[in-house]
Amino acid sequence: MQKEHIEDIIAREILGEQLSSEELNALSEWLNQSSEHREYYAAIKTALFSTKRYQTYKNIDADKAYRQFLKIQEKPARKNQFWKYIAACLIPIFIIGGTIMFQMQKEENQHMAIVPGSTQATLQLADGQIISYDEQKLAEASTQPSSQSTITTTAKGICIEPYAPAANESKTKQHNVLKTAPNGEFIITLEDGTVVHLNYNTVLHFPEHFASTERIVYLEGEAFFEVAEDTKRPFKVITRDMTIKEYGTSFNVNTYSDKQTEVVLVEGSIGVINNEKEYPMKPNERLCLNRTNKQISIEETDITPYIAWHQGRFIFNNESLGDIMETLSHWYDVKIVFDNPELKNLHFTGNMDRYGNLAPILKSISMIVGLRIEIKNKTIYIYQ
Amino acid sequence: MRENEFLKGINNQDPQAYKELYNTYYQSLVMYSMNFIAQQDIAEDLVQDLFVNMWNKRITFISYYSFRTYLYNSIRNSALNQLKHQDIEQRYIEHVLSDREQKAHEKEIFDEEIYRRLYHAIDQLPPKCREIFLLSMDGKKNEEIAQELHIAIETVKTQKKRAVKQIKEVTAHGFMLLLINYPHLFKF
Repeated sequence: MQKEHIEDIIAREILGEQLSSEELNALSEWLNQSSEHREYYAAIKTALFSTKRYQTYKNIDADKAYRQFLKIQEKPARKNQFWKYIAACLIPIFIIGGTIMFQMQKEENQHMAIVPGSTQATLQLADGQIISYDEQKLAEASTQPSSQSTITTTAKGICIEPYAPAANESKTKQHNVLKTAPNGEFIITLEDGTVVHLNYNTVLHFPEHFASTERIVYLEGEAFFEVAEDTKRPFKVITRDMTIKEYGTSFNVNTYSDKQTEVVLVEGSIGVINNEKEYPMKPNERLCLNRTNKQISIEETDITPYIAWHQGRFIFNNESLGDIMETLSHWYDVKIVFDNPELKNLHFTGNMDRYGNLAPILKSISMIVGLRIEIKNKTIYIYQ
Repeated sequence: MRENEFLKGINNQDPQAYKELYNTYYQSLVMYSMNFIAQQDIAEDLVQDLFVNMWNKRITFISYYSFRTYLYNSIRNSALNQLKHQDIEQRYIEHVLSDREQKAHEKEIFDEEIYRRLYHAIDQLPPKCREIFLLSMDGKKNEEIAQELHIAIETVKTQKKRAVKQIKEVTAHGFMLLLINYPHLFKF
């Protein structure tokens, strides 16, 4: 008796398929061979399937756990680094705190405490060293040599010195981690000349040096990529549920939402790989991977709203108030309270400056949608 | 081959491999942990702690088999530790640790692995197809499902066939893998 054959029969029987009489005979013959066969069969048949157990399993949220993991795992472990890290964190707090207090004294306007996001990120090098950047530090235009590669600063980020394809393969396994603040953004030029603009709350893992065969980075959050051409080494962006393979191009990737991952192609061509299938994309197309049903859809669309952040604008094209407020709350570091959750479903269209004050933005929204919006401390209340 | 690459990623602290670790094992290990500890939140903490620990200590594995055994054994040990903290009667723990139970332990891992593959197969079904399949597994008849979902009986039948076919492909393959990894359980 073929083992595979019996397995196949059992599998089909469990799954409720009608077995032929030969198959039934084969099965009973196999069962008669030993008590171990019978025990195995009984255990599988009685316990294997219960919808209730499957529901319990479904309610365990692995994605959420993974996101938690990303937060925990990035904390530095060693003590002396810990103090460096604390100090690095405290300095911007003093600066920002001081600035806010100064401004509050100057103008007794409560709204002024709310400022738009700014260039702000921490870079953890493969050797564990942590460097934090903010506008103040970048303005001083200092160069910070690190052990492996030279990093120069620019007004809005950093630039990794060009480096020939790695001769030392071990370096390609060591990862640097760049993480933007919850209300920060950052522009990094990688060693191959690729420019990545990271939006708030975004993590980019990139190797100390790219391998000689391909260039791979990992992304969680939102970023705009302008990839430097190198036909010999394809550039790949790997997110939690897809791989984006580019062929010389610029595009935007957004994984913020729990519901979907979004890719928008500006120019050139890319392929999105999911489940071992590659989906080619053309310029002005938007690809959306729905996390619930794992379906991928590609549509031609006006891509400007999706890349507006990269150009310093907020463009809302008939977007829901819930989504708009979510975006604003991150960038301006404020809390949002909807008096009635149904208000989230109202829609709004507009084009605004991303580095401007929040108050005028809210004012235009409130006027157009016909709502009352109040700002108290760092919370925004939205009433009918 | 696929498994070797995954393992290489785990050994090299590749975030993508850890993502896959969460996708493929997190739910199953929580379910397994709930064999010992009823509260889901505690069970989840145990699994989360295990993965974080693996990362922090850069634990590496030489084979997929030892990797999987490590996962289940670690969860079992930390669950038993947890029970000690909760002042559960010592006798229960002794019972769990007894020889006879050691065999049952292997069986539990075996079962969990079957569940894992089966659930994974169900997860991959298209939503409508899955809904119909689950209802039928709940013992509902075709007519009842058709009524409940306001669809034609023929649709229920085709969707069911489709589900069975797709799941069979995945689980039958799963059975093969189990055969390779747990030969003592299949003495033909």
